[in-house]
Amino acid sequence: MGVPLSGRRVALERLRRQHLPALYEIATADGVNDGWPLCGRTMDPVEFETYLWRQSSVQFAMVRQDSGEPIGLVQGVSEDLRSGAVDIAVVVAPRLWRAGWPLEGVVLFADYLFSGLGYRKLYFSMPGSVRRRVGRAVDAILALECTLTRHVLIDGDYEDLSVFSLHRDRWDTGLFSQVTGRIVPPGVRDRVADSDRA
Amino acid sequence: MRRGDVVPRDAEWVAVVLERWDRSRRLSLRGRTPSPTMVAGLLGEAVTAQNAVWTDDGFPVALLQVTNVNSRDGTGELALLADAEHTEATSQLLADFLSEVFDREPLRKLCIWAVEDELDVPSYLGSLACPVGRLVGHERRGPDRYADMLVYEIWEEDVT
Repeated sequence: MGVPLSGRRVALERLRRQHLPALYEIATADGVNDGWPLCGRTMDPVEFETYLWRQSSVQFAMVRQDSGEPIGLVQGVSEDLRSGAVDIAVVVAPRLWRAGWPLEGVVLFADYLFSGLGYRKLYFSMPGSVRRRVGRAVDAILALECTLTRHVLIDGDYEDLSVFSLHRDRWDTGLFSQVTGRIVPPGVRDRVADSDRA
Repeated sequence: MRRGDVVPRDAEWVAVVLERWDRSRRLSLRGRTPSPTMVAGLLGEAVTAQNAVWTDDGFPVALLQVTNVNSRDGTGELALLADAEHTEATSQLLADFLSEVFDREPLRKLCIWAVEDELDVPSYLGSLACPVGRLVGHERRGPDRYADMLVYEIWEEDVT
């Protein structure tokens, strides 16, 4: 596809069966189960695998560069090929929620969707508790386009669901480099991660 | 004007008007050709409640749906397909439909999504529809031309 799938600390690997045990543990963990991707559902690991494949045709496990350990999942859902828009869904291991570096996987995925697959617009939906956790970075980079008020039930309270967007025009101005702090030299984008080539 | 249950043969007129009438996101063809399976799916999949609206002499003028209900969050999607020639009468029956649905179902609110050149939501829902968002440049209309998608909420306490 010609876009990098490896960052400084995170790499994207196309979702495979070997990733699923770790991702199942993450998705069913306390504090995660109510959110994406299970949204409160209970399922066994076999059902989980089928469920993930039904949700998305473009998804990657986020893994640590140093160990290969899966730390989360990024998915493109509700793909709208006609209008060139897609929603990004993310789940990260709870123990890493306070660490900023896993978001590098989201940035890599966004670049894959824009530069690799040619999408024009990305959407990110997040409840208030997640928005607070991610912090001001969200408001600085993304555009808030919709707030569904008191929309999702989390820990007994109804939270707003904010829908943010990111246009490719903004990405092409060099946002990737600004966000990651990396200048991508000519030719690097032609390099494909070994895991993607396999 | 009257409203009532949707029956399988209603798929015939729905297929004809899908591209012509005012329509919300769910009932927008978006350039596709409506196969019988597709129309049957629109009338049957993920639908919690639906009514058709007819004139007194039996001509259909609207399809009203509550779909994609999330019982945990108490939310759902309102879908609307309506002949713009009968907006006022449809809106009155739509309000009755919503009142019935909120009474019967464990719903707190409904959302309706519509491309701005496909449905003028306030003309059918008036002050019941609270605008909560605009997805800028969402829907393709041609090379480098896009229309916005508008999002509204309808709350149970405003309807009942």
